[in-house]
Amino acid sequence: MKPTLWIFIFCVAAFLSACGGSGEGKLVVYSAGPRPLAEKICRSFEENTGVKVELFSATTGQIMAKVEAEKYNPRADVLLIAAETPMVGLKLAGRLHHYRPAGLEYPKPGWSDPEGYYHATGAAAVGIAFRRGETDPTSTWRGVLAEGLQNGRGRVAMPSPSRSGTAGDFLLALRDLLGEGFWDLFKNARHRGFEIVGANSQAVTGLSIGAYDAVYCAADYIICREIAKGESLEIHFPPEGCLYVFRPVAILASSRRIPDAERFVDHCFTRDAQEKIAADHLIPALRDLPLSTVRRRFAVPESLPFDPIAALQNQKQVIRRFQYEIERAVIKP
Amino acid sequence: MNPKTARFFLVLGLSALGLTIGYPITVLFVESIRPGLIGGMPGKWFEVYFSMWQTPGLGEMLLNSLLWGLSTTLGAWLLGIPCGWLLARTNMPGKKWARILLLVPLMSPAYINALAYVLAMQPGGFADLLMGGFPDGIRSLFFSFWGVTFVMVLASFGGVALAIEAVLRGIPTRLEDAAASLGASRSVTFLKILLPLVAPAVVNSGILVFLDAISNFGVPAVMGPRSNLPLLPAEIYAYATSWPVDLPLATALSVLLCVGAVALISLGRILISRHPVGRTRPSPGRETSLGALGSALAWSWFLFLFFIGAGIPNGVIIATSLVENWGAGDVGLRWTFEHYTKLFAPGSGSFQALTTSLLLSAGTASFCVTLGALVAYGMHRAPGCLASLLDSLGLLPRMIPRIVTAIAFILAWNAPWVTLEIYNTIWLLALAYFALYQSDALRFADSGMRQIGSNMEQAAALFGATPAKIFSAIILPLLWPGLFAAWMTTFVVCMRDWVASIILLPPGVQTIGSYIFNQFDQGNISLAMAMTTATVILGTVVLVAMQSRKK
Amino acid sequence: MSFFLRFESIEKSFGDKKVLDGVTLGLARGECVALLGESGCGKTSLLNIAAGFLKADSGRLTCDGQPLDDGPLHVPPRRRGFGMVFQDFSLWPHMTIGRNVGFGLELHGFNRADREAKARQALERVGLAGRENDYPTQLSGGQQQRVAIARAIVVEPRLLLLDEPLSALDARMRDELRDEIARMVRSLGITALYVTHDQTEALTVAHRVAVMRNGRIEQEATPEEIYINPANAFVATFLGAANILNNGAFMLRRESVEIYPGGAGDIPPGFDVLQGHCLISRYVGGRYEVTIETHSGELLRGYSPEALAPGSPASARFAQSARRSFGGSA
Repeated sequence: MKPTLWIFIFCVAAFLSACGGSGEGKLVVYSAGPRPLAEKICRSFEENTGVKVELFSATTGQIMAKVEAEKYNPRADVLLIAAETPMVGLKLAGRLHHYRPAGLEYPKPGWSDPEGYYHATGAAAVGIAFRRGETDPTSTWRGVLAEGLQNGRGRVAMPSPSRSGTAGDFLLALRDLLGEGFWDLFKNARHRGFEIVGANSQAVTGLSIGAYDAVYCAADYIICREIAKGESLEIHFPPEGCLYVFRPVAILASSRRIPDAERFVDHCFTRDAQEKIAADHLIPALRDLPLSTVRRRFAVPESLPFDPIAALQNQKQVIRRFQYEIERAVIKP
Repeated sequence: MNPKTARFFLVLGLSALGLTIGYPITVLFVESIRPGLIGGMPGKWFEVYFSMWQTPGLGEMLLNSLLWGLSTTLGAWLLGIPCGWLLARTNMPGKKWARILLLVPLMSPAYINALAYVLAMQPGGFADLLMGGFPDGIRSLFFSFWGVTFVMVLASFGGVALAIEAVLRGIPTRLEDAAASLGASRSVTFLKILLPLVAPAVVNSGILVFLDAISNFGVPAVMGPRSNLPLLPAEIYAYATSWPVDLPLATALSVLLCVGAVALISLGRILISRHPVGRTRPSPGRETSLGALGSALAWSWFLFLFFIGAGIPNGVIIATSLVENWGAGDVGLRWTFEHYTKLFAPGSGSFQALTTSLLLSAGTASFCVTLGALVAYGMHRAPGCLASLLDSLGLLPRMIPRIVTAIAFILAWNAPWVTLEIYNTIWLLALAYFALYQSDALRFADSGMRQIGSNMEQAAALFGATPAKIFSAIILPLLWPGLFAAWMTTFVVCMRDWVASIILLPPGVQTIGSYIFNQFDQGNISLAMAMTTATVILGTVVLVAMQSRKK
Repeated sequence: MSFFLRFESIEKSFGDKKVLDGVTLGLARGECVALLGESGCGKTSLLNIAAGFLKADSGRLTCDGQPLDDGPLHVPPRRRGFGMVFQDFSLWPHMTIGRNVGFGLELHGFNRADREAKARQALERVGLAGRENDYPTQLSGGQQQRVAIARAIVVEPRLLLLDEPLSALDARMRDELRDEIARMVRSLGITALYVTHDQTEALTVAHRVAVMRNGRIEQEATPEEIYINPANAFVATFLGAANILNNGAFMLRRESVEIYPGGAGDIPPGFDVLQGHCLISRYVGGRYEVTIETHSGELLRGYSPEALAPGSPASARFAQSARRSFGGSA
């Protein structure tokens, strides 16, 4: 028993010593993934300004849950998330600090909040992913739902809108695009074996393995990253236009370190930080910055109209209806 | 030791549980009854509870959740009880290895096992690759309610088996012999003697499975959309994490889930408490001799369970962790060790996550076990309403989805009136781990205390031993084997935790669970699987070490 | 003589340890035999073989002429029709006293009214009438064992097996229940095998006593015979206070030794006297138990009507007929 007891005591002691204090006086940044990218940006900010950063990195949903739970005693200074809708929600609730970085020129309009509360640091475009060589170049958003793929290989998967924020936004944009026929098209597709899976990565891995022939609503940067790792995939952008998923940065009005937070926002749009964003196959916010070599192979599509305020009001209902009538409904193929 | 000391321990335990469970849950509950009260801008009373009833499909979700919990429980009983009986009542060889086989499936997060099964079973998945095709009937059965249940059963039957083994060891075989000597057949002995005696333990172990199932959303989230299964925890998760975030409503739904669970649990407890079951005298049990064929069958059963519970999912996990790229079509599959070198590179995020989790889990387990020993002592030497309050408070965190508990922690420890700077430190996570996982330690210590009569302490007290001395020299050594087992179990479940970890981690820190989830979420499935493999191996090594020091 | 229950050359080993080494023993119908021995001598294993919870490695067990345990044949306990009383009572904690006693009757297909009547009768016999609706935990140890006895006898078993039924009870309760069991066994005329390590129990309850050691039966005889004429020093000391003299050549029961102070004095015919000095003298109620050391250095214990001072000269007188010599040195 003696040695075990010592191990026991050692563990407690090691644990006690491992727990440092919290970071007083640091700039607190909540950032959506990819975590390595967020870490790189924070590190270069620290090097450039000498301001210490505390980074909390999680999914957008988890970050918003944390922000909401901290409502009565906010901790975060800067938010960098991968969806526009929650930012609109925070702005309308008066919880964002107004700040516009000087001299920012976006590649396209619509990247920035018109009132200047939040600004996209980058964007991902949503398309249809295929394995290389099996791309159906004529496929459209409507066509895939209505008729399936042209080459007859019909196993198409889409990430669940109730699990993936990107798919949730995409669903609203698609509803505007397809209009009345939206629900029937999806029901039809489900009849033919259109599948809805739990998470983004599940769908993409399924594509790589060969379980699916296409991923409907795939983010370009994820596909590009897989390609860079050696997978032979491709992404196709239907001619109707594509949803841009912005990655906006904003300062919380409750921040007690507004000047540092503003410097952080500025830093997000420096060439240095933007290059890091582009290197992760995202479309950078700076107009003159080149795309990553992998991303350059594919087009930069036209944008589908997306109204974040309408999304804020309707999204829950639409997603819920989708859950019940499409995702979870028992539809016999 | 006098009852005063015992009561002091109870008060100590109660304040620990009150602080870590009672306080956050109360804050959360108040926030759901009157949203905004904490921030000084109170809304209407019971507003969310009224609006909760307008949630479409609410009844269906609740019913689904309860049904899912029940069928998981039945499944876990079906697989676990025979294992418990084989371990306790037969002479099957190599029991300590059999026990490890039971625990391995518990070491990886359930949603990762679910994903592994999805990768294996989906069209074009591993099953198709290896077996060149797969009956569609089984596939569609798997991607249904029964598949989700199946995966959850695999994650929980091991606990049932160990609980049943423990209680069967406590029931003297003489009670069965007495019936046999009067002419009772095996089935009559089983039905009339053994079953009523083990029923409380069977129901109790079932309750834990049930609670774990109804508060789990990872498994249904990974498999749910295909299996068309709307479940309440998934809905709660959606309300807590997708904008507009509605924490009060998520809480109200959790309360509903709790009420449903408590109602079912009480029903179960009423059913089994019709007969008072007194304590029996422990006496050496006799083991049924299995013979060569019987032993072979018993081992086939264990190996079969290990194969479906850990073999298939861990095989898929390991294979996935070694894939450089899948290269479906032209390139072909390529293997690599790169994910492991990345994992163990010193200074990398994964390495830091490993050490943080190790220290955090070891620390939490140590604390749980220490407090569990003190509280169990108090509960036995000063029974009463304090003791039973402690007991039910300890079970509360198992009924509420962990994401809700985590949110309760933020609300409670980040409230304006809290001056203690614990929020956003690793201490809060440690507190949450304690709250979520203390119940195992308490249960182990409690069953250990059953075997320690107060005469032993009295004997020591006669020699003038102080209470502290009695505790350290008499009680602790006697409890030690049980406490050590509790330490290991708590350690394992803390290592695989991810929900509390993700929400409560201080900035800049990662744990194994959050690392796996982040990698999974960002599409680095191979890296996530490599980390899972490392965790399972680490956990197994720890278990093997534990078993080999047991005589 | 034809025996009702018969063990023939029973052998049993657990691993390397041989616990029964060729035991042969018979019980006549209506006879109560006590198996007496220290713990670990194999008596409980023999009982378990009789009950059918263990199977003999070799040898034969028959009851009423039918084999129960012979080679591959093994009649399971439930088909043997025996009753058993356990050391730890083994009452089913989830059943009332009434159901505990009535359970065997239920298995034998008695209807409810008969069950209740018979159970009440059996409980009355053990002095527990009216406790039918209590649970075992509400009873004292002695009462629980009475219920266990009632449970075993109510089905009128062919053979009653008692496994140290009194060892978990306190001294006063033990005396009381011992006499009751003895009376019951006699009055019911039941065939019984009684396992114990206490010689008083064995002598009180049994018609015949078999003393066991190391998996063998050392001697079996009636209580009087085995007490007066033990086969060897082990049996002699195990059964009661015995002085073993002349390096184990013969023994003297303590109660046949009379101690008195001083020298030998007059020696009545047919008596022997050993001289020495008093070591200990203690009062045992009505008389003194005195230990003396003889001149040849042997210890001898006997009784004296008066107290002796330690160290004072003392003599021991005993009838030559009380001297029992063993065949060889044991």
